[in-house]
Amino acid sequence: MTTDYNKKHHLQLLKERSMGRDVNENQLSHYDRILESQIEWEMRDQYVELMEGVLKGNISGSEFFAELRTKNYSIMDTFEFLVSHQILLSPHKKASKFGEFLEPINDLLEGEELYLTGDEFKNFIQENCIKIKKYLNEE
Amino acid sequence: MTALLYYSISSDLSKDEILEIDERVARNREAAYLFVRKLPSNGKRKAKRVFVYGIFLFQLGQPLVPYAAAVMMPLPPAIHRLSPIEQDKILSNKNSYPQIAPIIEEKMDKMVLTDEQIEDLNLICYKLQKGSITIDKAILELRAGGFYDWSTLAFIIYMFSLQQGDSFQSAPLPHQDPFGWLSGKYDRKPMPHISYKSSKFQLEMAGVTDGMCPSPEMADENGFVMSYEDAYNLVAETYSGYLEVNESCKITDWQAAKHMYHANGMGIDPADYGFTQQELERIRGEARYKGGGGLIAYARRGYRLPPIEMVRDYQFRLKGHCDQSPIKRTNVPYYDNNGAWKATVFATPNPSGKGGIIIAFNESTSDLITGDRQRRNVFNRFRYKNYLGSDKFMLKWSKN
Repeated sequence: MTTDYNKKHHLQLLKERSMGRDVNENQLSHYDRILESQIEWEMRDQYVELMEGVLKGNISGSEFFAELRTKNYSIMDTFEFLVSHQILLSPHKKASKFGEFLEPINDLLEGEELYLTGDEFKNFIQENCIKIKKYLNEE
Repeated sequence: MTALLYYSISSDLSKDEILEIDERVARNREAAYLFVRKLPSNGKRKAKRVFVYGIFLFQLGQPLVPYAAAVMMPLPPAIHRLSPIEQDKILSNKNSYPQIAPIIEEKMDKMVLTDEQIEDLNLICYKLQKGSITIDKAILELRAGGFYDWSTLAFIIYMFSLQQGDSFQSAPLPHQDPFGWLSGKYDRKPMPHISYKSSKFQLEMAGVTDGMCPSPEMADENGFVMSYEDAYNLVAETYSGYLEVNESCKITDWQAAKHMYHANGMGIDPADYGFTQQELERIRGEARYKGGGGLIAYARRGYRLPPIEMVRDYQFRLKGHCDQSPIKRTNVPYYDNNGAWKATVFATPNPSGKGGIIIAFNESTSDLITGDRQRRNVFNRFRYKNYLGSDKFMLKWSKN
């Protein structure tokens, strides 16, 4: 997914959009997703640490969600700044896929009630943590 | 890391001054600060620098009350404003004239600029406010103009906070919209004056050490330390009012309090009200209990309730965004764990058009469902696919 990232094209689309011109929104959205994933990639150690904290019993559910939500806001702020100032990053080849792995975790913040009970929540975190760590350890 | 940012603005700062600025700016910006500080050490240095720059300018963009308060233009040294007591002394003692006014001792939190510098600053601020230059350009111009002391940095932040003020202000001041205030546009209805019941509650909870209930032996097998009825009465008395958004949407205190974990996304720092994000997340964690989940279950466990002042702050911010939101849709499907609901949605995209604020109301109850800043994918789902809630629940309920 990252291989089809073209920074110059992304920059061009952002510039055209900022000038009020019609741009290929699908293409722009695709690039934006890669940029967002790169920000998440920069924080990969924190995500793993957070999930491991839950599994080891060092972090409670409410602590986990507070941290996750705070990270989400930070990512939004950073993304917003980078895009509005047309500062683009060179994505790591594993960043996009990492972003996909994080989606189920971030989805936990959606909805106004937490639908997972204690054990379900822990199992869910364990399942995703294993997947993510395995992916990070791959060459 | 953050301190280094200020070196880039002024290399003349002493270490103590840098630390002081750093402390002030970082105080309410914990998330961004932690984000920067905890960046993995193996990250690319270039990317780090860009992030740091990004976070720095983001920090500049926040309204910072301490800075606004700190940036006060002092009177020129030769002018000393008399206190009433001094004035009485002077007037009662005719021999006291003429007097030499005392010279005000210069303080670190005050700006002392030359007339020329003031003119330059005015010009730059005027251009900044008019939007003819960006904050980046303004900073460059200020540096070029020889503004190197840290109080000037504070002034930049103050000006930028003014520029950003509208987006964070919950309601305009009376002199800014007199007709709106006279017409009751910003009134809460019915505007009950409620004593803060949880103050008493908090006193009762004094001595709580496990963060959950007074003592484990007082809790029942479910961990409740209060009966359902007592908890219900406490919540109902604490949150009995509502704020009307329009004829078909309102934000009850109860629903707003139940969703306080979204407050941060609306620009409220929970620490300003003595709360942590973690405490607010507990409310959401209790929502799954049927027949009295959410706030009642939360209260039954002995957790303190968010103060009504914080709830009102959240309500006003939501209403402010609803009033100005460029996107308003009705009959939007909202999917969650319990089913699908028809919602009226107010949405405000971020300036970049990526992500933004979404505020949804249940069309059956007219009350708030959610109000928060959402990431790009969630915002786009609403914008282009016209539904709210995760794909998982959309797939589950749209089949039925």
